[in-house]
Amino acid sequence: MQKLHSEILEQADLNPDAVALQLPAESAYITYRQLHTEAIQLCASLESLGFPTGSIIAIYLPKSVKAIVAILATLMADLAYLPLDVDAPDQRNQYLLNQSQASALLSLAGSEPGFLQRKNPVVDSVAGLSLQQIPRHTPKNKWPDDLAYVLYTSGSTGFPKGVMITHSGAWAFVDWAKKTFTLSPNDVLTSIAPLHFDLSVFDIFAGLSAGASVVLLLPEEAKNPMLLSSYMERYGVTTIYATPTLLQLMPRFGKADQYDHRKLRQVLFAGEVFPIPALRALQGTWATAAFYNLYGPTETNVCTWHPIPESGEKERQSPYPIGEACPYARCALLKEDGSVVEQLKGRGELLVAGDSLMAGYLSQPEQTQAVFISHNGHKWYTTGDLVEADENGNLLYRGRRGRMVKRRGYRIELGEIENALHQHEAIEQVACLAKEEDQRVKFIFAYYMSTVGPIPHSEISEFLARRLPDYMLPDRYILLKALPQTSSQKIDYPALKQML
Amino acid sequence: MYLQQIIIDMENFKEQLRSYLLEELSLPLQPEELQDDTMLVSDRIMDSISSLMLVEYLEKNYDISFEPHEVTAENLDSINIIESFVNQKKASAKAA
Repeated sequence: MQKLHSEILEQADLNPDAVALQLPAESAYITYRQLHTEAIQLCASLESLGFPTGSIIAIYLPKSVKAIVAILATLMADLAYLPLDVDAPDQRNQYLLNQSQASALLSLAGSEPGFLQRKNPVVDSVAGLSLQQIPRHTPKNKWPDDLAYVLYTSGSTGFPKGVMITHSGAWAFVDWAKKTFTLSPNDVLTSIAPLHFDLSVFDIFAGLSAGASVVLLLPEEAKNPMLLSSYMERYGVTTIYATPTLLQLMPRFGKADQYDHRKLRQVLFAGEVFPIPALRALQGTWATAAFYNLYGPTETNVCTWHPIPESGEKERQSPYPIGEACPYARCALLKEDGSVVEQLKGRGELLVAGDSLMAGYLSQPEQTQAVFISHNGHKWYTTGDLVEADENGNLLYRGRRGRMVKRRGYRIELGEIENALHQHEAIEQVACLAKEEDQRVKFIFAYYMSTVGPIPHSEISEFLARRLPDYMLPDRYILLKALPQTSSQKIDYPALKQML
Repeated sequence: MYLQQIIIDMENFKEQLRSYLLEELSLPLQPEELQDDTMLVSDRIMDSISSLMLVEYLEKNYDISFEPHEVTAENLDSINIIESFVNQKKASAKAA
């Protein structure tokens, strides 16, 4: 069976001296041979611990060459990686570590995290990494042997959910992407997304499987369009994959016209809608590049795609379609009457089946069951996204069901923010709302009632920052004497929405 | 003469910057809460888009040019810090 990392190892034989990874922040780079050698060493240490196949290894490392070595070594040892966000609050990482039942944690030697409950013994220290085993009872819930990674997404119950992706599931996308975007050793990719965000799967696995060079950007660098511009020129970047939020900053704040980006041949975007005027501006700035819209929740990986036409359609006002199903995926519509239609016509909630589907949510069988439906002998994931098929069978995104919103490509359940705010001792009631433009979040507002009157912005945001990742923090906190209620004493969200 | 010019500019600078931050960027602060040493980035008052707009504002209005690696929280974190960074840029531009 094809493993997610197999072709990366082959590249070490084919192009041993080619540069695999660049880390501009430290002027560091690593060749395919070195990458392979370091991963083998760490893999041996992991194997010596004798974990069962598919056990989870938490990777608590800043984005770096070492982090990629750690991921590769984990996969080589037939284990699965769970990338933790080193910038996320300890409380959240501790939750993920426990919920995932990870067997061990890899961190930088000397910077072991404070959130491990006990002082776990450092069993090995390889190449500046420290490997700590986490004592566990036998896990209650089984997960697949060929589990490759676990990525957490925001959960409507107020707690994140761990999406389990297998080797074969991930490879279905990676192999397609590598071929479709004709990646080769001549290519230079950027890795803009953090490793706990699923866009990174393309950068790392499609890029390295093809023998390309991958330029790793740190989180603070990825917020600096001018720096991205300068790196693109310095390394001759050919392929970039990012969210529209970042990409649309490039013409104005990235000063892209002052740098040489003529090697850029393709721009892939995903995670949210790209407003047409901003997309046009970017196409004008990067005239050598072809543009592609990719779509897919973490649970399905990329499952539809749409090449943006180079010219023509100048009069187009509405965003481009998310497109048609990738060859390994199937799409269907869940109609309002509850029927499932595989011929894509009209409107409905998008259902996705096929090879790239997640194995389920880690240790959450009820939540897993709730998002799948069976039809025609297939298991379909209910995306919660409303779509409409156009006359060519291309799917157009029409918004979300429920109270999930997207910001910077991240899914955010507003209930998860409310849940965190409820933990503040002075907050009595709270309701979070998103102000959207062009189907994208502009602001998140938190309306609250308090026992002490207004609480300063910095105090609430600092309180939340200890519990939630940055992208989930509201932009404004608004004190209300009372929150509007429906007749059944629930918060009246439509009434609040009118106040926006 | 030139040094004197900078000092005069800089007296206005803080006031101009303060009103830009409050009125144009609409930072979530009451005017009296925005002190010269209020930590804008570290205390999550100013988000990354606002930071980029601030950089653009400073470049346009004070005739300086940020290098890519200078667009960082360390140079933009408070009114005092921004002032000293702009001063330093102006001084080094003069020296060059």
